[in-house]
Amino acid sequence: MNSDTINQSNPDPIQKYVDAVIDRQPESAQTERAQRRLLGRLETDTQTVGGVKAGWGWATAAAAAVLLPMLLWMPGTTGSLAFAEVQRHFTEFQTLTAQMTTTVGGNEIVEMTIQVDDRNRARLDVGDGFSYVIDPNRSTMLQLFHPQARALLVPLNAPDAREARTGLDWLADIREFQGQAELLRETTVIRGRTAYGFSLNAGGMDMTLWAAESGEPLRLQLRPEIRAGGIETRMDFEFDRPLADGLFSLSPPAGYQLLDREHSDEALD
Amino acid sequence: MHLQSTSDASPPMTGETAANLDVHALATMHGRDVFRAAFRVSGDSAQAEDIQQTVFIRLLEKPPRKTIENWKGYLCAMATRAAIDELRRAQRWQRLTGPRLAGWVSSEPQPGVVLDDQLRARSLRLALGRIPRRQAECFALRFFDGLELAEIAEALSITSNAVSVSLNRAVNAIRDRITAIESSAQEHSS
Repeated sequence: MNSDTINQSNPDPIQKYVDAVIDRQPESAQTERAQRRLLGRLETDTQTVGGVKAGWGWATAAAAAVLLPMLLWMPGTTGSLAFAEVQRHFTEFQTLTAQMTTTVGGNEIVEMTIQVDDRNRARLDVGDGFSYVIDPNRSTMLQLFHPQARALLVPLNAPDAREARTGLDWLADIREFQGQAELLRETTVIRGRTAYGFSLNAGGMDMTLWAAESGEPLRLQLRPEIRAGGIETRMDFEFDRPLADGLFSLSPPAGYQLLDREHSDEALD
Repeated sequence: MHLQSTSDASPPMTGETAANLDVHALATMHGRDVFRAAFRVSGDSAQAEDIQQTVFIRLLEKPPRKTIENWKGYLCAMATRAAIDELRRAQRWQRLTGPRLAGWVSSEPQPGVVLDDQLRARSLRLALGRIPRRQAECFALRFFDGLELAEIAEALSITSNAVSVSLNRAVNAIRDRITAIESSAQEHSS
């Protein structure tokens, strides 16, 4: 048994938080129920895995029959090259428009439009509620609260600007992704175009990126979080769509009251 | 702080190789420990059960190539890492959808709430989900599972020095967060 403290000489505030975690054990009934289900699941899955192993030669031939035409048909010579072509679109666009939809149990709860230009300026519009305009070149973000007709200018290094910038992390994750993207066997149709899926884990999140034959990304699906209430998030992409003038302006629209940061708490009142 | 030991080797599975791996026997022997390890990080029995099953199914589908001397430590580390990933996914979702809209799933303690153990545990898990994954893994393996630095290094396939650095950064980041929570609670009570 190990015995340890985070800081023996000076009681650390973390200590009681760690104790709060490790002192609370699951009930033994929960543990035993989980154990029973685990063993039951393994019974089933062991048989499945055993069956696959027994038919290895047949399965390999079948997989090759499916995969070979797909690899020959997809842009590039291998799945990873094809994905690089998809990935390229996220760095070489003039404008990118992403429509993000989040549903819980089939009910849509969030709809957000994200627009980015080739200068990395971004605008996030969340329904009719609020918008963020982020201009990294000027290190400034404009927050617009539409029902209140109020606006706030926030330096990008301020803590409250971080929330908005992290809303764009997915784009950085895909741009910087260097791991293995697995080409899925199934295809789907998105906005009338046949789409090929790549499964990948970028930024610690499992996702499927669907792209057209040309490599143009069409849709990003974040895997459902069953334990988070069946939450599903997807983004539909459109590249190089002309964007409205002034979309990334850091000037508040006419009729909006510009609050100073001292009164930022009043923005939603 | 008393930490659970995971350093005991587990005969007869010690040194088992992929070729003769008996996953069912491992599940019988260590399944409960894996469940508890996942529960410590997630705080949710249903999610811990999912993670427990994922660990053993993954073992079935993709056995480790190296010889495992300490199966209990190895499996608990797998569970802890999977649970950290789940924490991070949940946090990531909140960041993607915006904190104002995600408030209904947020477990962020509100200012002035009395800090009981349940809230402390939740706050610590929240903090773990917000620091870099490697740091969170090192922290949880060290302070939740009680692994020694060398055991963490082996589990994460990094050097002991890298573990030490990550651990130090994790403690500092979490301490900052917790200090802010404590200050907020004290201000409200005074």
